[in-house]
Amino acid sequence: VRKTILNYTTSLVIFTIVLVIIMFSILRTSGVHSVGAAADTPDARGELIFIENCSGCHHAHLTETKIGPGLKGLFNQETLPASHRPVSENNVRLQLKDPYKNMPRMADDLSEEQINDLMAFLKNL
Amino acid sequence: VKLYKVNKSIKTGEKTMSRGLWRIILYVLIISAPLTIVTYLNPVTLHQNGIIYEIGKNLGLTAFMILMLQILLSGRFKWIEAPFGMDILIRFHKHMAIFAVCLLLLHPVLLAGGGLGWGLLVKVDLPWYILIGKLTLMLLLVNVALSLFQNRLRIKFEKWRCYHDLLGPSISVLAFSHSWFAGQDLQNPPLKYLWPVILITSVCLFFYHRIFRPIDLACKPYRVIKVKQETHDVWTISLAPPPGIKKVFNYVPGQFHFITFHRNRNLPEEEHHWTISSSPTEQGIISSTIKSRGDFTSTIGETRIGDTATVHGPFGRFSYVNYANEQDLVFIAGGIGVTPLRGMIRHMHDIESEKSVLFIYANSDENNIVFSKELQEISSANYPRLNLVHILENPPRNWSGETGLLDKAKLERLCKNKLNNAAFYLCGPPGLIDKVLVNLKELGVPDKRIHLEIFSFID
Repeated sequence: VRKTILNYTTSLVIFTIVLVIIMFSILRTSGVHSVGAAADTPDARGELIFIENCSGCHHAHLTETKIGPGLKGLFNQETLPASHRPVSENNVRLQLKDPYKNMPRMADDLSEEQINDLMAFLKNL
Repeated sequence: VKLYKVNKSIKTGEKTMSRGLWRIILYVLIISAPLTIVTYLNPVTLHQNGIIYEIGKNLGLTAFMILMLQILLSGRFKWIEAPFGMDILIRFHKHMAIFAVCLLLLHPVLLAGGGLGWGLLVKVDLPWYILIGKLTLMLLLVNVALSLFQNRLRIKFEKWRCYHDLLGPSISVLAFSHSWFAGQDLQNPPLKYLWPVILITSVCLFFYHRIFRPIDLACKPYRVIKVKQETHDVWTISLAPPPGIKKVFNYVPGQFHFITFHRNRNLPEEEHHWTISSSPTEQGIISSTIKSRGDFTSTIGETRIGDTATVHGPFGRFSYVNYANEQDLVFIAGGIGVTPLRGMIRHMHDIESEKSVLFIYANSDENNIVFSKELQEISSANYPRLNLVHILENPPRNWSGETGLLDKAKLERLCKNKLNNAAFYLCGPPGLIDKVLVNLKELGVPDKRIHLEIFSFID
């Protein structure tokens, strides 16, 4: 009887966990709880663009290196972490269009409007 | 006058069931906590990647939590173990490990299919933290395979435990590294703070379980004060608490404990779990009755008075004390399976319990009957109302009792008046117990009136 209870309990726990995973996945992709969808601001749109295009190599909320440097507090620093050019909107845009070192060129994949949104997000890190 | 004291922390009946239920709910809530936090407090959603990607990511978060909580299931924490019993908890630990493996096998597949590309699965030229993730999954597969097939691979328990102790924490740290650097959700508070806390807690609990608690227990060793040979291959080892401590730990009759004997003389020091054959009414001592059957136990007869032992217990739920409403009991034991039942019968005798007990005790021959004289004495006394029935497979010529095997017909004849209302407690070799279990069910005894402990932690 205890083995039967164990099997029922395990099945119930696994079923509940799978249900929770699917439920939260649906919630997050349905846009109900999406910051990006709810707050249609350049900053929020920029965050989505960052996640899609940049987060594979850069932390947004850490200064530690992932593949490229962490970008937390980027616009509070004096120089850009890799190129050591002075921090300014122009130099960040330049980094996207004509990257220093190994970073891929992002400007080909992003429209001017998307780059503007991304800049809004990076300024608030 | 022997004083009676039971472990008051062990609750009985429905209260225990509800406590167990609350612990299961808490377990599911803790596992779901990261998803809840991510969704409600820090929702950064990748619309572009869609639901497949999102499920894949969430499988990873959930599997990490399951792995971090594994130590709670296997670490012998009494608050967690008490409502379920160690045998059930260890099996749940195994089931959840297999579930975590399934989630983690699907995790990269769904991420790849959900937008990251199939290169994630086949390419070698990937960021280091992705390769760490692959390594983690491989180590986890090895760990689970070693645990599931320990017997088939003929790996000794001690050796397996070394592998498990090395692989468990390594997998936790590697899984953390992978998720920390690959997981976008973990860069934001509160998961940014929660994730390291979960890892540190899990690793600390592991080291407490495997290093600090054993050292603490070894510093307060019990002393062997009596070694009694019960039959040609069975010994009862009685232990007294360490100097300065008058009482042994609180337990109920029928529970078990882990013992590591420190006997020097080139005798092995291994931790094993044995049923406590004494009763809590026997003040100042705790005993285990151990059968010599190869490997470590073949040296049990060489234990001497004055040897020391590290003892950790009690554990288990196989005790009539946990079912206070049952008045009519049938104990069925085979061979050395008598040990927990002896503890219970001694306990009933000492507290002058008026319960009625039919004790069917099967052995191969008369020489293998353990506690023969003591059981006979208790059955002649008033408490409990004990009806002792011995069954011998190879009886001596002058034997007037039951003979042969305990088959269905014999079980029905002996328990005729008990089948409709008595509670059955079974303990003995798996072959006997499996048959008795099937026969009892065929005779109409419902599961809830049958109690047994799965003494081996390996299926």
